[in-house]
Amino acid sequence: MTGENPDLEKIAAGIADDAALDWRLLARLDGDAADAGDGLRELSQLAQVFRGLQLKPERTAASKVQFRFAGLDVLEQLGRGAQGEVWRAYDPMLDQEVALKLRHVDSDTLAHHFLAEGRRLARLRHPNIVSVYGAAAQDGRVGLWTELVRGRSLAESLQADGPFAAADAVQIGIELCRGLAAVHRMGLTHGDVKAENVLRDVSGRVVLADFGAAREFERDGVFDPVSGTRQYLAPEVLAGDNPGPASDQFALGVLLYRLLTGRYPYAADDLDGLRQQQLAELRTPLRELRPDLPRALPRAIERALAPDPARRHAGVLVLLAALEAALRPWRMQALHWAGVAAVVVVVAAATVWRLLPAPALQLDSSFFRDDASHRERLADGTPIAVGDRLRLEIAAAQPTWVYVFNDDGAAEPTVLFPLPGIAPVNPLQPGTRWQLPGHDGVTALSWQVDREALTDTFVVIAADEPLARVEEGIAQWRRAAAPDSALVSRGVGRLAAAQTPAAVPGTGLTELLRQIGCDAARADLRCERFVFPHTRR
Amino acid sequence: MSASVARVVPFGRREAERAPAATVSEATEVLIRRVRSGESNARDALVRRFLPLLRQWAHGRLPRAARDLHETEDLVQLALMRALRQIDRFECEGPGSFLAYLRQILLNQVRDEVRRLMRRPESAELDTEMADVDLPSPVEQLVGHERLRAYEAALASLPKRQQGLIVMRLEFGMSYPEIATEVGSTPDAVRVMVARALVQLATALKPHQ
Repeated sequence: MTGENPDLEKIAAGIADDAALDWRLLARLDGDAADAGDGLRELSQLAQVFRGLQLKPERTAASKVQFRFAGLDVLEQLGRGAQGEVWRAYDPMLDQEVALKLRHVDSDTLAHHFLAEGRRLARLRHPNIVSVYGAAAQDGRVGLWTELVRGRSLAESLQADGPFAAADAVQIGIELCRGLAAVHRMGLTHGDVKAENVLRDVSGRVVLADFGAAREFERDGVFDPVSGTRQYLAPEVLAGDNPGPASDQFALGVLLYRLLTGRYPYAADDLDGLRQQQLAELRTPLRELRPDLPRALPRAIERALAPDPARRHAGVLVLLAALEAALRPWRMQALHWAGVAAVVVVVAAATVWRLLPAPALQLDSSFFRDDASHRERLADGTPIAVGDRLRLEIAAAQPTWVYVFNDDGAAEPTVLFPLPGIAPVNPLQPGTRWQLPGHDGVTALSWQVDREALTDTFVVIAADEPLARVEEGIAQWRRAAAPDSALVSRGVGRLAAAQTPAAVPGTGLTELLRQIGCDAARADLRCERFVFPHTRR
Repeated sequence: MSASVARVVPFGRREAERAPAATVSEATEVLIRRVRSGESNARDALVRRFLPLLRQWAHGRLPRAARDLHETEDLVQLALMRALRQIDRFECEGPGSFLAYLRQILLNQVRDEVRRLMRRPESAELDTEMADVDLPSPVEQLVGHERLRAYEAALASLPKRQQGLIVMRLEFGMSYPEIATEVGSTPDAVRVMVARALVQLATALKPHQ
C-alpha cells in the first residue's frame, strides 16, 4: 500500500537528500497516502532540526560577533522597524542560529509584561508556529529570540508567482488552522495573520510568525497605511473589541481570499469605509474571481469572512474540516437528526437485513476506515466519528453493477457511488479489489464523515446487470440534491446538520429497495445495509 | 534522479570536520567479529569509527546543564565501552544495526544522566525559566518533548535494519557512500532503502496536531 506509493518514496528521498520538500506532490496525496504524507512532513522538519545540530555555524570566520545579549552572540542585523530591530544571533546553548528581536523599553512594567508573554509563547511548540526559545531584559532593552526560518513569505510568493492554485491555498489554510488551533488552545490569540507573516521554509513547512510579544514592533495600535495589515482586521476589532480566535479566523479568511485572487476582499481607503464594506459584505464573490474552484471552497472561506463572529465557523478546526472537505466534494452526509421526529437510538450492531449471496452473484464487500497509521476494517456496528474517512472495498466474481447510498432517513438518500467524473464505473470487473468511491484520475478519494449524527447507514446494492430502476432514482436524486451541504456551525463548537433542503417529491430509498426486490430472496441481487453508530472524539 | 546521488553533499558537516567513518574500509560487521575474537586493533578501529559520530549526536541530546564538554565526552566513551564489553550480546540484525544499537545504549545513558542531574539540587538554579520543562535537551527544545517522543516511538516500531538506516542518514548525517560501506551496498541502493524506511516511519508516526 503506502510502502509502494512512488510519490511517497519520491518525497521521502527528497527528505533523505536534504532537498526542498516537494509540497506540491504532498498536496496531491490522498487517503492512506495523505496520512503518510503528514508523517513525512513531520519527518522533514525533524530532519532539519537534526541537521541543524550537526551543522557548526561558521561564526569565527564569516560572522563577527557584534555584541552579546542574554548569552547570545549577536551577528548581523536582518531588519529594523520603528521601535525595534531583528538580528541573526547564535545561541551557544542550543548550538543554533536564532532570530533575535530587540526593542528599547522605558518602563519596568512593559518589560515585565514582555517577559511574561515571552515565556508563555516559549511553551508553545507547533510545526506551524514559529518557535520562541527565550526572552530576556538587559541594558534597557528587551529581546526575544525565535527559530530562524529560512524561506519566503506568502506575500513574496504572491508577488512573484501570482495567485495560488486551489490545492496549494487549501494546504496552506489547513496548516495555518492547525497552528492557530494550538495558539487558541493555550488561550492566546495571534492577532496578526497576514500574507507577510506566513513563511514557507525550504522544507515546505508553513510557519506563522510574529505574534504577541514576538510581533514586529512598528505598530502598537497605530496602523501603518502602507503595511496592508488593516485589511485583515475583523469588523469587531475595527469597532474596538480585542482580537480573539474569531478575528484570527477572519484574518485567515482574508488571507485565503487574497492567495486565491491576489486581492483583498475589502479595500476601502479608511477604516470606517472598510468596516462598512465588511458589514454589508460588499466584496466580489470568490466564485466570480475564481470560477475554477471546487464549489465548497468559496463557501468555506467566505463563512470565515462573516461580519458577525457568531456566524463564522465555530473554530479554526471546523474551518479546517470544511477546507479539507472542499477538495473532496463527494463526502457522505450524515443523518439529519435534528429533522427526524422520532430518533431511534441504535444500541447494538444492527444489520437490518442481509440476503446471503446465491451462487449466481459472488461478492465480497467491506467498509474500511483509513486511519493515520493503518487501515481498519469496519464490521457492522463499529463506531465512527466526524472526520473519519471511509472506503468500500469490493471484489466480485463476475461483472457487477454496484450502487452505494448513505441513507439518512430523509426522502432523498445521498448517492455515494457511482459518481460523475470518478473512476471506476459500473460494471466493476472481476479480478480487482475495487476501492470505492474510486479516484478522479489523480487522487484516490474517500468518503468523509463530516457531520455529527447518531448513526450512519449505508446501503449497498449489487447486481449482475444494470438496475434501471435504481439508475432512474439516482438521476432524480442528483437533480434534487442541493449542492449546499457545507458544514453549518451553531456557534458552540458543535457541528450540526444544515437544514434539510426542501425535498422534491419522489421515490424514497426504502420504496426503491422494495421495488427492485431486496425483500425477496433473489439470486442475482444483493442488498446490504451497514449501520455505524457515531462516537464523540 | 540517479545522477543526483553522486552530487549529494554529506549534509551537516563540511569535509574538513567529517568524522572518519569511512576511512577504514572494513565493514563494521567484520570489525565486530574481529573484536569478538579479541583483536585489540579492531577494537580501536571501531572506537575511531564511531566516537566522533556519537559525540556529535550526544551534543544535541544532552540537556544544556550536562553539556560540559568533558561530561559529554565521558558519557559517549562510557557508552561505547559498555557496548564493546557487551559485544557478545549484540545480535546483528542486519548491516547497520550496530549503530542503532550504539545509539540506543547512548540514549539510555543520556536518560540516566538527566535523572542524575535532576536529583542534583543546584540544577534548579541553572535555568529557572525552564523548571517546568525538566531539563530539555537542545533537540527537545527545538521540536518539543511530545514530538520527539512520538518520533522515538515510531522509530522503535521499525525493524532494526531500517532504524539503522534512518539514524545513520538523518541523525548522524552520514553520506550515502558512507552508509553504503557500512551496510555493504551501493550508494544508489542505500538512497532507495532510506527513502522506503522513511515512508514506513512516516506511516508509523501519529500525525502531530
